[in-house]
Amino acid sequence: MNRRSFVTATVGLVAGVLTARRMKPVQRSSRVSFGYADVNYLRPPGAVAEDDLLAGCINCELCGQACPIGCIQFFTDDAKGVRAHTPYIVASEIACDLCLACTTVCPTGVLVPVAAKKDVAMGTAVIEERLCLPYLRQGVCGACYTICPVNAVRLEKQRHPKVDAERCVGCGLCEEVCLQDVKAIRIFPPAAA
Amino acid sequence: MQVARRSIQVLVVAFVVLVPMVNYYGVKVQQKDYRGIENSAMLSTVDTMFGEMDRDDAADLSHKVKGSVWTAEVFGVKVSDPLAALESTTTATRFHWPLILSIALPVLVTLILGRAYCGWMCPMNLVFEINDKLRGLLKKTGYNVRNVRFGRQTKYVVLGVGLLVAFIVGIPVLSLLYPPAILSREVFYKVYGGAFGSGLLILAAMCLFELILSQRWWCRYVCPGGAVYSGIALVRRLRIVRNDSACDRCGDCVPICPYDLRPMTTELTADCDQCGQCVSACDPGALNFKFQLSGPLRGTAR
Repeated sequence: MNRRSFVTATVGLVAGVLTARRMKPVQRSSRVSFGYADVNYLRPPGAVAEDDLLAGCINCELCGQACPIGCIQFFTDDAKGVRAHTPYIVASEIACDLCLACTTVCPTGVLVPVAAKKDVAMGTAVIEERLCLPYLRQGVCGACYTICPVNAVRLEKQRHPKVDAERCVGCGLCEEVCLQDVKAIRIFPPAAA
Repeated sequence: MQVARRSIQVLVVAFVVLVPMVNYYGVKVQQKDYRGIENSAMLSTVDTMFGEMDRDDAADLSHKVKGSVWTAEVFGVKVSDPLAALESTTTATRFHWPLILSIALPVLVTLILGRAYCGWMCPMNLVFEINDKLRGLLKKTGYNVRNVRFGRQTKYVVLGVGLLVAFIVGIPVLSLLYPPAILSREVFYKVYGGAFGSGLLILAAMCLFELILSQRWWCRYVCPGGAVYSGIALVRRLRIVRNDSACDRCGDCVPICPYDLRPMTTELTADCDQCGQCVSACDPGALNFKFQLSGPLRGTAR
């Protein structure tokens, strides 16, 4: 192999690799399938953008061991393709209580340490008024208002909950405590919101 | 020495199994929720481990040690496998200094002791060694076991291609193939989720392949983590050297080497995992570990 063909091959290879890296598969929305209905999943607090998380995460499950309430789950067997073995949270099962232990333990920096609870951005809560008890005139509830750790839910006329999207960090405690079986308040991850 | 090595290996396996158990126990104690684990072996094991200690104190202590052999945090000190750092850095194309710092200890140990991690600590090495014993038994029963050989450089190719593929597709594919990482993950899933995942199938396939087709196939020829360690171990300071005058050329050391190296002809390359089985097998005591602070840095040397 002479020098010219070597240089051509090298340049071609590098160009090919860089082009291939740019051609990402289409990102599907943040949903995890439970068979009967798709449920939104959240990434743990302090998570970087989805692409960077998939690239940087070494699948070590340290965040899962660090979580004191066991809210962090992992994509396992039904192997969501590229997402296999990465951490996620389903707020309606066990919501994050914003202790932020996982952000300090992550060795790869895909979970960035967060200074305060109000700086977390896991998603945004959205209220479905057609399911919410006070909106349906079925009584006074205020469960989401009571539990919100960052005071992002306020009560209009002392009964109708409203979400302040600026303040909401998306921890999902409101979704977990919501009295309805089909949750009237749900967290939508940043990509899906 | 082999007793010491086995003890360390068993200790590491115990670490991999017990740490998720202890952390899960901490979760359950803090929640005061023992549903599903009241009579489990896990609860009794961890209770025995903490002895007389109060359960709440034990739960506080339990979160101090986290992780596995892939990456761990022990009282705030992070230690990672060099392969993890290499792959994460390549795929995410950015330097995360805590991750780079966390491989300092393993790299330093490898610089001095060579691939000692493989021979003395890797939990899957223990499994593969037991598998190799089974292979010996199988051979004795008259079954015709094959031994397909690959090139020793295969592992560097696997490492390079793996990193390239990881870089292109944007997920760390080597972490899905690296046996100690798979094992750590599966144990975690078993403890936390109650069931093993599909990774165990990969390990079973590897064991089966080594059992009937190729002796110690993964560690000898393929392991990308071993490639990283071998690369660093080129400049190792602890080597097995042979005293030519004491050697009676019996050749006992040659078949015992798990890496198919030839200690008798001093062809111990950077692949040597310092298991010391050849040293133990040498009756005249011609083979010995030796620290060399100066001397040749590379090559097939001694």
